[in-house]
Amino acid sequence: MSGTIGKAGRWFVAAWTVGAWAAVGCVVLVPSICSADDAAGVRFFESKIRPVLVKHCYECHSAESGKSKGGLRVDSRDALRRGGDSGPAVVPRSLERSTLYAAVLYGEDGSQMPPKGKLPEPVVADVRRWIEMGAPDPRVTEVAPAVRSEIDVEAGREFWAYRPVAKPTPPRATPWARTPIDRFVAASHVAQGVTPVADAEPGALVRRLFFVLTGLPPSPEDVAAWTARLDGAAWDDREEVVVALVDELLASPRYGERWGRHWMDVARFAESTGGDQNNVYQHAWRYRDWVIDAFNDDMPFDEFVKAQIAGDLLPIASDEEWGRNLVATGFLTIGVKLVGEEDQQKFFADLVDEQIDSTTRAFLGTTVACARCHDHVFDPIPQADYYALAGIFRSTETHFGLLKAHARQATTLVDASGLGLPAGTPALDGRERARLIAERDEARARLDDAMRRIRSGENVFRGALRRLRSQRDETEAALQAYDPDGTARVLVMGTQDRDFPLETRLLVRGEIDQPAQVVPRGLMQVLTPRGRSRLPRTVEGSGRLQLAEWIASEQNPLTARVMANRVWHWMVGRGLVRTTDDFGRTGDRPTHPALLDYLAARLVENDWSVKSLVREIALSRTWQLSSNHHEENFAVDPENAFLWRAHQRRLEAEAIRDAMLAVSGDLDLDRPVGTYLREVGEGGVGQNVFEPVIRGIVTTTRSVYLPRVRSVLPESLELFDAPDAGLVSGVRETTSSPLQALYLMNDPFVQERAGGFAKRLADAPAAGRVDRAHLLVFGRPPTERERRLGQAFLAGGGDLTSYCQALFCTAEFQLLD
Amino acid sequence: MSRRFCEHRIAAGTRRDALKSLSAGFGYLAFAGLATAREATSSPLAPKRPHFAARAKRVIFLCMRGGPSHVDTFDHKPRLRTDHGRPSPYGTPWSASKFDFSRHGDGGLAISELFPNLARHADDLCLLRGMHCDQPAHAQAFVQMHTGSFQFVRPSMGAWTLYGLGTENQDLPGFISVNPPTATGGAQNYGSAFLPAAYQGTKFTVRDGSQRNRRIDQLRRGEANPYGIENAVNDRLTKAEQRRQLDLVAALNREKLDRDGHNPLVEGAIESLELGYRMQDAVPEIMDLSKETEETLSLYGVNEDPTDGFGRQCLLARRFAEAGVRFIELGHGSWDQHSNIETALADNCAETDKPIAGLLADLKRRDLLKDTLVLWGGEFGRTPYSPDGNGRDHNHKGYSTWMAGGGVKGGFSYGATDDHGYEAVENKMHVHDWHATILHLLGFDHERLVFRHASREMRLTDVHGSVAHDVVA
Repeated sequence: MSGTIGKAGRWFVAAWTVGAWAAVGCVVLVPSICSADDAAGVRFFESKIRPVLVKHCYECHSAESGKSKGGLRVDSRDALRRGGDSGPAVVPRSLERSTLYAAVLYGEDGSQMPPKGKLPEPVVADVRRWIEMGAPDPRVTEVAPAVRSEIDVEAGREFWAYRPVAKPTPPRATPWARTPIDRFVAASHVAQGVTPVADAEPGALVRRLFFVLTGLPPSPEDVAAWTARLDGAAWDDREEVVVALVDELLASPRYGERWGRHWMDVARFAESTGGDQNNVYQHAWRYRDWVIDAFNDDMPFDEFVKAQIAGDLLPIASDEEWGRNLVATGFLTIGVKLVGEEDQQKFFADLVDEQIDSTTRAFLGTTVACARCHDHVFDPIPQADYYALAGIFRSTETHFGLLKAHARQATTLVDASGLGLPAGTPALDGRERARLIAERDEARARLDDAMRRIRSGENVFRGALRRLRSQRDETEAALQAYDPDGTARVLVMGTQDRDFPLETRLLVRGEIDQPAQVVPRGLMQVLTPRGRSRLPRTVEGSGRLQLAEWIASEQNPLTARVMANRVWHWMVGRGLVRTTDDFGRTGDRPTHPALLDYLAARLVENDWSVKSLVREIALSRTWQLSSNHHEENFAVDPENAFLWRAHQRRLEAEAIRDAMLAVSGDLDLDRPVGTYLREVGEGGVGQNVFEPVIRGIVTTTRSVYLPRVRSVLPESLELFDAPDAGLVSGVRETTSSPLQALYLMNDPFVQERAGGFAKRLADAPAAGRVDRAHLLVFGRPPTERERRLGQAFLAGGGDLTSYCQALFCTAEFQLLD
Repeated sequence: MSRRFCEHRIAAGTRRDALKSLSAGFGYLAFAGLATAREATSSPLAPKRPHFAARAKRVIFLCMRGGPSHVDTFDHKPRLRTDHGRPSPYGTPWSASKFDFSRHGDGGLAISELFPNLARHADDLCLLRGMHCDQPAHAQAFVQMHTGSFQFVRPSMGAWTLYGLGTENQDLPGFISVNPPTATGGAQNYGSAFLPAAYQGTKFTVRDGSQRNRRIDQLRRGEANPYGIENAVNDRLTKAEQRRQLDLVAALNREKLDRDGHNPLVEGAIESLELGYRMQDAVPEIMDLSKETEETLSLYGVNEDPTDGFGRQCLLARRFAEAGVRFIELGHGSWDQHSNIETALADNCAETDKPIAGLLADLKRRDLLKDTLVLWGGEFGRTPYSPDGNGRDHNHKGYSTWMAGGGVKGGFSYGATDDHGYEAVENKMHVHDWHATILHLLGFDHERLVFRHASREMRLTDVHGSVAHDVVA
C-alpha cells in the first residue's frame, strides 16, 4: 500500500470555511485591461458603482476596514472576481454566476446584502447593467517591478554553519581523556589554560543520570545499589556500570516523557491559540503523545523530522502508520494564531509565516522569517527564499480545528477514525445524544424564525442572534464528533496538500497589496547546490515532501549540527552553540566547533539515533565531571564555557513537580488518555471557558501531561519558567522569584506532597528518619551537620510534615550537581 | 502585510551596517554583562536612576478596557448635535451624544455629565484628545496599548518601567496588575517577554462586592481571595512554626553554600525565600483596608453600590503607591458599547467616577500626586456615527485618554479630533508617542531604554514614538 490514503482521508465538517483560503490566499493578477474597460465603462463604474460599494460594502469587505467577511473583499477588481466563500462575487456578463448580484436582489433563499436593508431599485438596476456591460473596474493591482536581492549567496556559503559537516579526527589521546569527546574537550582545556576538576562522586552521578535521562529522582534503593557498584571501581569497571545504568534508563518509558518534553519546548507545543483570543486546542495532545513515543522508540531523527513536516505525504506500509504520521504534522498546526482576525488573507499569511518561522528555527536553527519583508539583515537569505518556502506552506491546508461560533478563523480537523489511533474521548450515550439533537434543532428553529422576522422588517436584537448561532453550531459540532452509534470519532490536527500548488509572489515590504515577481517553490539557496534551490514546476503537491527530505538529508549542514547541539544542551545544560535556535550570524559561535561536527557526524553515522548520541555523551569523562567550584579555573573561565566542570543547573519546572510527587509516593505513572482540557470544553479563555476552571485541574500524573493553555500554564510550571510556547524555545530561563518561594512554602499541592513524604518516613524508626529523608530527596545521606539540624528541628517540636516541606524548599532540591 | 510587521522583526535599514559588524556572541555577552551588573547590586529590582531627572516616580494606570466612547466623555463635539441623524461618509448617520457637557475648572475643560466627581479635579487633568492606534480590534489594540506591539509578544510598559527604575519596596512586587482580563492578550499585558522574569507584573485579584457585579465577578476570577495573590499565607503553620521551618531551610542552604564555595543559584534561592517570607506579612497588610477611616472608604465609594469594586482597586492603588510599588495597573470594563450606550456607558462611569476622583483627592492630600503619574484610557475610542443611535463601533483613528499628576500640565487639553470626533487631526498622539511621553516623565529617553534580544536592541516604542513635550508642566 502506498501513500494514496492521504487524500482519501475523510473530513470532519463542523466548520464552514473549507477551501476558502485557496481562493483568498492567491493573488490573481490581470496585467492587461480588458476591452470593456473603456472610458465610458470606467465612468459608469466611478459614478454609479464605486460609491455604492464604498458606502454599503467596504465596512465589512475591504482592506481599509481590515475585514473580509465570508472571505470576500470588494475593494479591488481581483478581489471581486475572486470572490469569497460562496464563489466569485462578480463574473463579467453573467448575472447568474455573480453572487454579488444575487445578494443585492435580496432573494428569500440566499445571502441578502447589504445586511441593513435592500438597496433601492435603481441602484440594483445599475449593478445589473454594470455586470452586463462586463463589470469594468479600474481598481487593478499593479505588479511591482521584480525585487532584486543584494545578498551574495555564494559568499554566504563560507559561514561556518553552512559548510558541510566533515567528521573531524579527535585530537590525540591524553591520560585524562577516556572517549573521543574527551579528547576534543581536553584539547580546549589546554588551549584555554583550565584543568578539569575531579570526577563526580558516585551518588551525584547516579542522581544526575536519573534526572537528566528520566526527569525523576532515583529511589534510595537505586542510589544504594548503583553507588555500591560504582564505589571504588576502577575506570574501566566504572564505565561498565554506567553503561548498564544508562541503558536501563534509556529503556524506561520515563525517558520519552522527559526528552519528548524537551522537544516540545522546541516545537512550541501548547494547547491553545494564545493570540488575540485564546482558544483551546482540544486535539493537540495527540502530537504530545506522538513525540513522547518517538523518543521512547528512538525513532531515527531524520524520520522524526520528515514526519513532522510531511507525515501525511510519506510512503507508508499501513493505515495505522498513516494515522500516526498525520498526527506528527500537528507540529505545523499548534502555533500561536490570531483567530479573531477578520481579514482571512492576513490570517493566512501570518499562519504561513508562523510555520516558516517554527520549521526553520526548530530544525535548522535559522531565522528565515526575518526575510518576510526584505532580505535577511544578517544572514545570506534573500527575501525570495522566504517566498519560495511560503509557496510550499501556502499550498498546504492546515487543519487546526476550533468552532466557527468561537473564532472567526476556524478550520476542519482531519477525521482519522479507524486508523488505530485512540479516541481520547469516551463514547456518547444515547440519552446525551438525544439531548444534543434536541438542543440543536431547537436553536435551528428559533434561528430560522428570527431570520424570517428580520426579513419581514422586524427589529431583532443582534446579541440574541449571535447566541442562537453559537448554540446551534456548538451542538452541531459536538454531535459531529461522534458516529451515530455514539462512538467518538478520531479527530486530528494536521496538514493536507491542496489539490494544486498556489502561485506565490514576493510581496514588496511584505505587503499583500504590493505583489512583485512570481517565486517558484523552493528551499534556502545557501543550503542547496548552486542553481538547485527551486522545485521544478512539475513537482506535484505542495512540495512539503521535498522540503522534509531536504531538511532531513545528510547533505544539509544544519540539521544534524542543530540537533546534536540540542542533545548536548539537554545533556550538559548548555549548548556548544549557546543560542540553540540561532546558528546564524547573530547567534553564538560554537565553543568547540570540531566537537560539534564530530557529534553531528556521529548522529548521522548511527542512523540518526538520538539515544546513541545521548549514550555516547553520558559515557564521556567530560559529562561525568563533578560540578565543584575551582578558583583558578573560575578566574579564567567563569562561565565554564570550556567545560572544566559539570554545569550546575536548576531542574526544570516539570522535574521539580515530578520529583515532589515521586518523593511523596504519589506519582501516577500512567499516561492519561487525551487531555485534561476535555472537561473544560471548547472555546476561548475568558469567553467560553474560564481561567479558574483550567487552573482548578489537579492531577498527580507526570507534568508533561498537564494542560498547556498559553498564558494559563499551571502555576507549578509557570512559576519555574516553563516556556509559554509563543516561539521555538530551545533554552529555558532560570529565574528566582519570591512567588516561587511562596509556592513552595504555602501551596496546598506542596503541602500535600510533604504530607505524603512524611507518611513514608513515619514508618522508619525515629532515629533513621533524617537519613531516610535525605536519601529520598537528595539521593545522598545527610552530612553530620545536616543530621544534627534535622534532628534538632524534630526534637524541638517541629512536625514531620514541616520538616519534609523544608527539604522541598531547599536550593539543593531544585539543583542538579 | 503591514509595514509594521516587518519593522518589529528586524531593525530598519540604517542600523544594518553597524549591527552587521558586531562580533559573534554579542547578544549573549550583553546579557552576561547585565547579569554580572545585577549580581553586583544583588537584586535586579534594586532602585535605579533614570537617564535624567524624573517628573514621576511611579505610575497608576486606570485601564478601561473595551474602548470608552470619547465623544460621550472627554471630547465634546457640538457639531454632532447639528448633524445628528444626517448621513456620515461611513455608512451610518452621525449620532450626537446623549449626555451634556459643561466646562470645568480654571482651564475650562469640557467634560461630560457622566463624570461629575472627576470634573471637580479638572485642573489636575491633562486631556489627550488626539490619540490614535493601529487596530480597531480589541485584542490587538489592547496588547499594543500595553506592549507597543499588536503582533509579537513584547514586554509590557510596566515591565519596562521596572527594568528601568527597579522598585522601592523589596517586600512587595514592583509591578502589580489588578484584575487584568484573561482574554485580549491575557498575561501578555503584564508580561516581561524577553526581559528577565523579575520584571513581569504580578496579578492581583480584587473582588467586587457591588450588587451588580458580584456574580460575573466570581465566574471570571473564582472564589474571593482576600490577599489578592495565591499562596500569600500559610494555613497550616503558625508564624513561629514557619519561622523555625525557614530557619532550618536557611541553615541547610548555607550548609550547601559552604560545601560548594561559590554558588549564585543557592544565594538567589536564600534571598527569594526571605523575600517570600516577608511578603507573607506585607501582602496581607497592604490588602487589609480595615485601618482606613470611614471617611477614606467613602471617599472612594468602598462598600457602596455601584462603586465598591473599582473603589477598592483605587484605594489599593494608593496604598501600593505609598508603599513604593513602581507600576500599578487597575482594570475595569467592559466599555464596549455597541448597543445600550445610554445605560451601559452611564453604568461604567457611575462605577468609576467617584473612585477615581477619590484617588486623585487622596493622592493630592498625601502629596503623592506630584510624582505619581495617573493614566486613564482604553485601547481605542468609539465612532461618532451609529446605525441606530444606541451604540457605537470601534474607532482607533481618534479617541481620548488623560494623564494627571506626575509632572503633567493640569487643566490642559492636548490634541484634537476633527469636527465630528472621527479622526485625530491636531497634535496627534499615537500609542507609541504616548509610551514615549510616559517614559519621558519617568526620566527616560525612550530610544535609550533598550534591551538586547533576538539580535537587536529592543525598545518599548520599537522604532517609533516621539515625546509630546507640550504636556509636561
